[in-house]
Amino acid sequence: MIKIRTKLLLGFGMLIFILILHTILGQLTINKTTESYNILTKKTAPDVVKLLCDFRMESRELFLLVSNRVVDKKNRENLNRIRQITDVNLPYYISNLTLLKQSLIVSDSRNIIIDSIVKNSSKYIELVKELNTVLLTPKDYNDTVKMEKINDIKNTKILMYSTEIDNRLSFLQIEFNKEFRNSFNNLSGVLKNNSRFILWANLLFICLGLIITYKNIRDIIKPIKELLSSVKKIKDGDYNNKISLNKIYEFSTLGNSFNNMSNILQKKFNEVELKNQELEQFVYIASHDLQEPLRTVNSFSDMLIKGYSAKLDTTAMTYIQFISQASTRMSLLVRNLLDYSCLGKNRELTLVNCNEMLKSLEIDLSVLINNNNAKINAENLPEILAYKTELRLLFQNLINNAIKFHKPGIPPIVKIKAKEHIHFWEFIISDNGIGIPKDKKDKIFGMFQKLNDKSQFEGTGIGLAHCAKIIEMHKGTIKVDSELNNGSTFSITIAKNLKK
Amino acid sequence: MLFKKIFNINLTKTVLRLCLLFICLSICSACQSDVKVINIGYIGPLTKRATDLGIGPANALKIAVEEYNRNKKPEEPVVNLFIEDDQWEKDNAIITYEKLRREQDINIIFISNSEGTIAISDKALEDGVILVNPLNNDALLSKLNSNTFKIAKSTEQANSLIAIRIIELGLKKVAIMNYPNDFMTIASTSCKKLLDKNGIKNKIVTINKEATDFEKELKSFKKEGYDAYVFFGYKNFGFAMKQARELGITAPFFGSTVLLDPAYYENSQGTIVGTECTFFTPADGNWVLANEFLDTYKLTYGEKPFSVWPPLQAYDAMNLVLNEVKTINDTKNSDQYFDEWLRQRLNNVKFFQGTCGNISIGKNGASKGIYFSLYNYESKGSLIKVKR
Repeated sequence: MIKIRTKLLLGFGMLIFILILHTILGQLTINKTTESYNILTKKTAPDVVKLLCDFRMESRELFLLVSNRVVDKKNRENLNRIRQITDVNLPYYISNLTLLKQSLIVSDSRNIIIDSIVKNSSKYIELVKELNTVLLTPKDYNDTVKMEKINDIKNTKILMYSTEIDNRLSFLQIEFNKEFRNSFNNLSGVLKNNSRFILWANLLFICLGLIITYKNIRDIIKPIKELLSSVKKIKDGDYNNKISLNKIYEFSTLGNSFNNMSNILQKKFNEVELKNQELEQFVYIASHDLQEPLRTVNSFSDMLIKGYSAKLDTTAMTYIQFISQASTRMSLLVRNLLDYSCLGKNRELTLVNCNEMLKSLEIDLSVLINNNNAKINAENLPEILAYKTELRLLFQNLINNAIKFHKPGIPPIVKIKAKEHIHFWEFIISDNGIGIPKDKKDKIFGMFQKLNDKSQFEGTGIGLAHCAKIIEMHKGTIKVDSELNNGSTFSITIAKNLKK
Repeated sequence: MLFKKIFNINLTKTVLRLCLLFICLSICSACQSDVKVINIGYIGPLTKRATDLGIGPANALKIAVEEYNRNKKPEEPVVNLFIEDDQWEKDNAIITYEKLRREQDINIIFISNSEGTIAISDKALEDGVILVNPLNNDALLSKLNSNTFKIAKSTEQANSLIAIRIIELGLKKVAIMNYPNDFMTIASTSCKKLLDKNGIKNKIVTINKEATDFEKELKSFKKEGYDAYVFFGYKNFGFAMKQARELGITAPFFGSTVLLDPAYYENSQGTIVGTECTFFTPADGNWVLANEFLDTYKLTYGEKPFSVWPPLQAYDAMNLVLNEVKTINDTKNSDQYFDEWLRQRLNNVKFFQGTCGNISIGKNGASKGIYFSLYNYESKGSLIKVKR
């Protein structure tokens, strides 16, 4: 099992390794390119080709100048040019050719050619200088013996050296031109290959990088998602859900802790459930069993009032009446308690047409509505999946309260509208009644909570507690928005995904 | 602690001090490695005699140095040029050399006068100074030490043209008047050598340096029937030309490379016209570069030099040296002496395209590539190439 830190380190380490590999490969390709470039520039650069070309041109020019000088005794002007070529230009080319030779490998066949050119050029220069010395004045041209010798030198040796130098330079030109083209092609090929290689290497490394990144992210995100899903299931009451996160140490530990927590929660929830059932059972039994003695007390106190009113004095009668009223109220409270405990016991999930349900309710509440000149304005309400009886009771309680707690002298108006959301329905029931003080809004959903004077408004104060319990059954919420003397607006939600 | 106990030294402080010392030494060595300034001196005749061999070259050297300093890269050293007048006297050359060494700490010295070159060459070697003669280049100068360079025309080659011309013209008896200095003596002897070789009678008469009256010698020449007169000397030889014509000598005159000195013409009172001499114009070198330089010269000094070859040669010599000097911070080893380094660099110059032609320098420090031609003194200050 691996730790997150180790995994991240491995991931980033791998990426860095890939980068290093990429850099090394890039460097290698650059070196190869530089090598080709060096060959191109040092050995076969245009400078070399130009050198050979210039050398050849000047060598040819020298031969022509010398020929003119030998043939035409009046031609004295070219001597300085001949000197320039023999003193400076040709020695310069020879020295550059020698340098060029040093850059060639020993086994290169061109070394022999260069040696030959250097040797012949030196002899060529010597001969030309000798010729210049002999042909110093026009008088020298009249010396037949001298001229025969000069012509012989020119036509044999100088011509031979000049031709040989020219041929060999020409050969070198061809060779170096060939090498230049080859090197250029090589460089071009190397650059193309390198470019292709770098492109593929880049693509490969990008893919590798993406795979590594994806794998790391997945390995980290996947358990988090699993954990979130399990948390959601637990939130929905599925305490049996267990997760198994084995790949990464931290997540595995978290998964085990989560499973332990889930087990503990299930255990506690079961305990609470059991206690709740016991409590409801207790409430039911208590309220049910209390009905009988209460009825007895009530019956006998009625019998006492009816049968012994003449025999008992006024005080006794008053006390008996108190007993009768208290037992009646107690009976009402116990019955409400019983109703509360029985709420939803026989619930059945059905499709409820809220418009029809409201019409039926208006009929049931017609007396109350008429007595108070109340108006119920309902928009088109939806058909929803709900516990029909309980939903009806919910609306009944809310409409009843809206009418009951109306402002004196002002006919109550109840407005009902519905709004569909993705996961739930929302019903808004608003009235123009007396409203609820801000500080008491939190108390109204408690059992037997009465905010107003008992004498002014009848009731036990359990209606909104019923509403809260019904909403809980429908996995919804109930809220009130109200200000004193400004009416109240109840907003209730009912989940769409209720299961039968 | 243990270290402190054993050696009684605080290790941290010691390391810090060593680091500080290392940084200081690094900074010092970095400061020392780059040569920032090179001082160059020039000694030439700015007054009294042969000023065409001093003023023009001095101006050309100034142009070359200014161009270098203007165009140099930041890492290349600044060059300062200091000019001194030797009045064409070797004794003055020694004095001015010492002055330049003492006051300006020069590394390179340019000098026009051949005798001056000979006089200071050993001192220059001793001082580690590179000596460059930008006007003369002859066999005698080439025998000097390895610190002496001659970036100029070959004296022998230039003056042998006169002998060849005399032979061409079929003249039989040649009188050579020689100014007693190294350059003119070599000119005379190289000319004589060639004349002798071709069986032409000739005679060298050495004239006193300050002489202005040559009647005695000229009368003697006339009497002996010389049919060619060669004047290897400076402006005073203009008097000789005048006197020769006054004596009825009609033989052709020949001269050396210095005829364009205006004083020469003045002294000859126009009799110099028609004299053939060796000379160098832009047409003999790299025409475009030479004319560019002459235009710059005119723009800078208001007029072209009356004798163009001395400034052209000096300009080339200076540029050739500066071409190497600018590489000092890249090519000179820290353990190499300056003169040793520059000597090696100059000896390896195989091709330098200057205004006078393509120049190379041989192992003896003598340049090749500057060739003079034969000219005719057409009119005051004007020469025309001799058609041969």
